[in-house]
Amino acid sequence: MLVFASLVLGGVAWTRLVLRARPGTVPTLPATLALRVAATGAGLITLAQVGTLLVALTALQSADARPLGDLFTTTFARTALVRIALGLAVGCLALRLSRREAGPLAWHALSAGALALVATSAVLSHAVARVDGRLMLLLLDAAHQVAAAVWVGGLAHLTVYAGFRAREGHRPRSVGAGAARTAGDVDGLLEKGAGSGTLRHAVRARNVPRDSFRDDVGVDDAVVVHRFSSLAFASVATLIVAGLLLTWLYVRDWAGLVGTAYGVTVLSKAILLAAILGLAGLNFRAVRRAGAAGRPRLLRRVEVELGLGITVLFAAASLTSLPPAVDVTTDRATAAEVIERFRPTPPRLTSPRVADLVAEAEPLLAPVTRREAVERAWSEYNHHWAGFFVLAIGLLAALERLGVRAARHWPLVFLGLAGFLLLRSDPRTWPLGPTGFWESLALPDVLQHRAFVMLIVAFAVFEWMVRSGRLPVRPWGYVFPLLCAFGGGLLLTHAHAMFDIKKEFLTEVTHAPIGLLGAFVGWGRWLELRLPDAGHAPGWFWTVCLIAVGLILIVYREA
Amino acid sequence: MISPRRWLLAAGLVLAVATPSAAHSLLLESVPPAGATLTGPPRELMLRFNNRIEKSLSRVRLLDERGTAQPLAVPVTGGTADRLTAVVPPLAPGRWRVEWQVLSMDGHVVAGRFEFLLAP
Repeated sequence: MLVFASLVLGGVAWTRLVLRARPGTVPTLPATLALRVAATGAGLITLAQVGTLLVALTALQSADARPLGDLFTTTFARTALVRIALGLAVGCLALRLSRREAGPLAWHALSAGALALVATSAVLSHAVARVDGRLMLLLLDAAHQVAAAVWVGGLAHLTVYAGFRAREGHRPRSVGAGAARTAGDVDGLLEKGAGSGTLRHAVRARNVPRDSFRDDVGVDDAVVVHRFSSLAFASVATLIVAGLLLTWLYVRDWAGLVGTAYGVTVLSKAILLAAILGLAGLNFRAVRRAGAAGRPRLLRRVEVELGLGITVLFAAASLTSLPPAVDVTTDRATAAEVIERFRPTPPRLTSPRVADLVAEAEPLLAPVTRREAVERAWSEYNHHWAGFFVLAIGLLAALERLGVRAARHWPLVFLGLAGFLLLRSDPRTWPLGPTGFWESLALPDVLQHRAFVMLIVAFAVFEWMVRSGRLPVRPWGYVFPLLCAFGGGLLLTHAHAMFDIKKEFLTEVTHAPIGLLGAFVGWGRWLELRLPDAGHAPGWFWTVCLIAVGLILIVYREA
Repeated sequence: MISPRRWLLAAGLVLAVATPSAAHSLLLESVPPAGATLTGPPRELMLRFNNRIEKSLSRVRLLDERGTAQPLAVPVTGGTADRLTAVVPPLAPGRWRVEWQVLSMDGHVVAGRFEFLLAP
């Protein structure tokens, strides 16, 4: 939902503050495109919000309660209804403004609606449920989310804009006062833009004569990038200040930062943010130097900024489902206990028997209240062998990079990993255990594991077909980095049942670095594909990250 | 025909909405405490959480060793926003289990349970 919110508010900010769409004029083509993307985001938020209501209703259904009526007396449900209405209103308004000129009132309504849509998500956060200091927390949370949406959403719209300009067939530094100064230019522009259908659709949807597109882009690319740079700088400053204050209020001390799942997720966000700021710093310098030659490089880095920004939003979504560190007082791990989990020990090379595990562990569908030694041994064996698979993949990728041609088939090793995980990740379910395949999918843990297996199969197949020349690099080469990055983000949100907060945290503390490294593998590979003239650095970067994932898995321990 | 680029976009959207969510309400303390051994029957059951809860959609059950529930009246108005309280009827000695499910004000549904022993 945070990603969709970013598309909405980022789109409105992009249209009004970067493209400077003015009331009383027909929107330019880039503004039209941005408003349509924002409308799509608003529609998706509406659907997602309806989904959260249904999930809450389902969770509350029980034999002795009829929650339907009572649910709509709660702050959560009322806020959700307001957000559904806002999503519909903003979506319709953005669509309307993308098609025809409108007065200032409609534009102000769009801005206010988009702002409210993002700010009200604070009313669904920890802030609203706190016992003390709610107003301050609500304001800080709203500011944090608005700033994040403007920044990450703006990056998304800058990427869309860059794609639009590329499809126009213009050089990066072009246009001056217009991309299509004559009707003939417009025809050419339409033909070039018709590849994706977006531009042609936008033109038709607006139902205005083609002559109206003279001077339609209306602004120099350099000005656009410069304006966004200033907007992003202000957003990031707000984001960091609000984020630091929220961290102080929800985490409070170093022990909470390293000894709780909430704290470690905040740390993960900070590491991702540092990486993004590193790229943003390079881009900021490039914009200020205003070198046209460097602009393609800048846009490729913006794509990576956007990808890492979305990963941060994943981590932020995960934070909303974790108890704040300041509340976890008796079940914290110490720094020494955390470090101990990363201390290398010999890997477990023999597995317990399935029958022993099924006999000793609690039934799969019962509430989890304990974790037996045999379950820990099973899990460690799985992680260690998964680590061997990943280490082999990383080393083969490194060999390919060094010129060993046969090593290019390394993606196929992922299929072995997927088969191994499918067989062993949930031993009490199909295919090894007594619980059926469909029945087991009702459990979030099992569902997540199956999703991971599907992800691994998908990127193994696509990456192997690309590397063996069976599929073109564009777009199929992007499947591996995108799914890797998504898998990393998903891992940052991965959680088991909360039967023992401290044990659960210590079990999963290694997931955070693996998730981060997964995101870095994905976006490193992306940069390698998108920016071939960057040299070998991106390629070696993601290869080393992949090897590091394998090594962390090999030292994984649950006790 | 749908272009590969659109397949990738559609897959991305599906993956974006597929992110699961857990829950975060914590039971900070209870009366009787979890795992306690009581020498006399408790008169009141109290659960304190780390955040505000929607009492009208929260519930508490008290079960004996055979799983039979005792009737509990949990007021849905009044009291502090982070606590559930209930007057406990006279209990027989033995092991008792408290099962709870709360809706926190931010919309997360969380359930849990604990036991206490009432000594003969």
